[in-house]
Amino acid sequence: MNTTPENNNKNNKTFQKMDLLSKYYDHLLTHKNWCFSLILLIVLGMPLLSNYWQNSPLIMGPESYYHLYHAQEISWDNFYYWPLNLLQKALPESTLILIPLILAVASVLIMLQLAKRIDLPEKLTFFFMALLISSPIFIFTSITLSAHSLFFFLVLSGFLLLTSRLKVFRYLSIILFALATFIDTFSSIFMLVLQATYFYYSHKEKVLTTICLMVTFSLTLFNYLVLQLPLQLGPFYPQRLLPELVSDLGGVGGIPLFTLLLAVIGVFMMWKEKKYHWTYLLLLVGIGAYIQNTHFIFLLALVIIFFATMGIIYLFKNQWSIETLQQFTALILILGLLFSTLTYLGRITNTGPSADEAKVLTWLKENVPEDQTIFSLPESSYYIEYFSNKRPLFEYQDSEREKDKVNLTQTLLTSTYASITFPLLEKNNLSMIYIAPKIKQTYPNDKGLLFLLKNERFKLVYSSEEAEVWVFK
Amino acid sequence: MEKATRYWLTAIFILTLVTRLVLAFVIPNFTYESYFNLRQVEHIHDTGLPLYQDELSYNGRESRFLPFFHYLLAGFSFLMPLELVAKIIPNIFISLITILVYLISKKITNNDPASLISAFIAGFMPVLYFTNSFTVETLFLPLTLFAIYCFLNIPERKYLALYLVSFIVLSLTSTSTVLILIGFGIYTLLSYLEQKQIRNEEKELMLFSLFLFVWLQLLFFKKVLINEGIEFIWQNIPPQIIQSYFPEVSILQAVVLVSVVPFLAGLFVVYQSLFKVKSQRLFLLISLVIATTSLAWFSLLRFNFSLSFFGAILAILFASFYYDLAEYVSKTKFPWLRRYLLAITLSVLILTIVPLALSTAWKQDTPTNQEIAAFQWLEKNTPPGARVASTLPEGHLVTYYSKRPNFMDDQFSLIKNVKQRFMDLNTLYTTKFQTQALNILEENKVQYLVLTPSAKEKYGIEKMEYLTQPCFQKIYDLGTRIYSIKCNLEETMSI
Repeated sequence: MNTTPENNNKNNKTFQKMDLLSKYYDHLLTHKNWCFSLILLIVLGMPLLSNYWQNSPLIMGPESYYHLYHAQEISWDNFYYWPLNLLQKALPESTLILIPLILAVASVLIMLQLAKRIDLPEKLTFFFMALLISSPIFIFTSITLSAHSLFFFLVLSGFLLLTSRLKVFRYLSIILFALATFIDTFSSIFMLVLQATYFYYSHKEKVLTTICLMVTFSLTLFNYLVLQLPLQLGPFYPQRLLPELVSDLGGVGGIPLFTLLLAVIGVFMMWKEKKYHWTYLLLLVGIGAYIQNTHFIFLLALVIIFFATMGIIYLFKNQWSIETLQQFTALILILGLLFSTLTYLGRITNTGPSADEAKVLTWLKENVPEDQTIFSLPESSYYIEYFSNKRPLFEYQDSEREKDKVNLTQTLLTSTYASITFPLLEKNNLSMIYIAPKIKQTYPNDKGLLFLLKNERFKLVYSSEEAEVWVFK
Repeated sequence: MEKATRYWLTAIFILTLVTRLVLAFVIPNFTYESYFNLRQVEHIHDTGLPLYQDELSYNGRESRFLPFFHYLLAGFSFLMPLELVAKIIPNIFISLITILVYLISKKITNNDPASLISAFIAGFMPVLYFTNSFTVETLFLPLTLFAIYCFLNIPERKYLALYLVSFIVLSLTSTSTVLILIGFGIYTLLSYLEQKQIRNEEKELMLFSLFLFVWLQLLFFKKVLINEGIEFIWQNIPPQIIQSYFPEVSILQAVVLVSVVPFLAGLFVVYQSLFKVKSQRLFLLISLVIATTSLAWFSLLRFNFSLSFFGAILAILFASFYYDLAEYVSKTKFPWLRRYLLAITLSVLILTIVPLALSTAWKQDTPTNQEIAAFQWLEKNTPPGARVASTLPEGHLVTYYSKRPNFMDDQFSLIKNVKQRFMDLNTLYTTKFQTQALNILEENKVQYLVLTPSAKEKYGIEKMEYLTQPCFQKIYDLGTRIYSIKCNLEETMSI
């Protein structure tokens, strides 16, 4: 991946032939730090501002509340939540949004520094960063309390220290890599592949290589077998392979369709270059993990974005026979990526929870006995746990293990017959029902549970706009 | 082009056009799905904008479609009445396929007789004989062939510009343009496997086409993609009827609709090109055939549409077959047969294709004048805003002729609970129980119910058992019956 200054100049000259965009490209390249800072400010600021104006909680997404809930009480089997526990106690809840923001900004700065240190070509760094920062999955990960944003920060910091000239720092990187193994097993495997590749190509000290890999490997095993960390965290959303991969298909995160197309080009073009074959291994690991659990999208997206970057470089490294077509293609790519990002920013604030949901769930905390189980959509389970401090029927990420509860939920939501619904509610001791706004959007109100709520055995005890709490007697 | 060839080509074009126009005017009215497009063109004519917020369909809904076809026809509607435009212009578009097939065949074979025969086949391909269909496909098919022709002539600057224009128009006409892109992909793969170099201009055009198409679709269908995801391909069609839109590919049906001679000739040419001669020009056409077949096989493209496109390509491939056949005959012991080959071929084609084409045209599913009159009567004799229930295809007649909200039609995109709605519609026409019917009618705020002879035939019923007084008053009965709903269901007291 190292290039000489002469090669860099030659490639930059080729780019300069694209008169329409070349001067802007040069300007952006020169001021890329400012450019990325501005993009970060916009893509991270917009959703947060929107939530702020709507009085909705700044912290979004079920994963955020999953971590916040589990960090409330520390014991030996979740000791890795201790830093978050400290922060929760020391800071007001609304300020905790600073955690993912700081991690995101720090990650970007570390990446830029790392790119310089390992002599990555400027345009590779530029396009990779531009695609990454504007990708919906990065935006979403950066404005929610996501384990992957912490993992990303730790791994980048680890590599930054690993590439330091000082031996002490290089050995200190082991600590950061060790911390990163406490996310989940698949992420640790991903990191292992990265480390192994780095050591293979960089021919670093054998001792450091051995210790680093051994520590990572051992901790991964320990965390999986002893601490029983999951293979993968989540899922926190319904698993839909394509929509979660491609943000334009309505996923919670994902990458733009254009990025995917560029990545396909990159995959085909890079195959000829042996030095990039390790990225294909990473891609395979990523795809395998993603199919198993779509929550792996963030790490998979990093690999895809790398291929997309190479795709862009391949497309524009030489002048096309039809020069105008090359310029228009570049323009369409920019417009397409911009469009995907802006569309995503427009809908991401609906991720939840809304102010009304938070209000209703907080009411539950204050007015309902502690041992009460709350029935609602599985996706709301984390909000229920955190805001109301009550038990949901099951946590969404346990859907695979709790298939009977999943079926029960589906039956209760869709059955219009009291003779089916009432015995099920009684048998499972479900007397508190939280009707989230999503239930009203998804299910018709003239059928299923929403229809049965008209029965006298149900009583509305609290509501705020579209969020409601019903009691079943 | 030689004078004689020009005359023959013009004759084929005129013969095709005249045949189509005669059929279009003799067969009454349009196919059911045409009325959606008629309404859109009318709206653009009146307001300049497509009807993306439709107050009548499903009693109010949002819809999304590519509007170029509708804008183009709206332009013509300023010159002549809309119904005349709808009969004449699409048939002109489809007839132009003869010229385009000739040009592409000539490019590939450089042989006039072979190319003229291809043009003749294209002019009478049974699957293309939807003379009363006012749909986007009537523009899409000739435009696609034009784009292919321009692509084959790419080194010339003029054709580059024409290709770009035609591709942009295609991307604004139909999402089926993806067919071309997949064809390009297969073409690239085939060339790579056969170690044939693709010209740089072709590669660049393919890339540009891909990105342009994706961008335009994202712009128009952003909301549909977010709501429906990848199922956007299947247009939210209710699962109960998806088989009729994406039926299992039937080879026999395909052979009948594209006619057996071009089908067999096409197979032969594909075999020759892929395994023996390996002509790169033919690779592109074969790639398009593979793309069409694959998409239809995997239910990603409507069967009828894929067959239309398939038929047009087969017509082109026939030129190559005829040319090879003529060359072969010349080398046999009976070279004198070559003199009669054209006549023999034409005779066989006329006997096998033309009757099938005419038969296909006659079998088009169009409403009768009597049925149309009933829907027109509704406009004059019912209050505006009164919702009317009819069968699924007739939903567009309700909105177009009656100018009333319908219960359901075949534009399913962005409609919630479409499966349930379709079940309810079927129940209305099949149930024996008045309470059940009244429940559905009341839930959906339907005030009038239409029972046409087509509906009776579709459901195999003579009458609907529950349509009795006092709840259902017959207000129209001239073959088609219209009922006014007079009752509501009330809750009974609980004991």
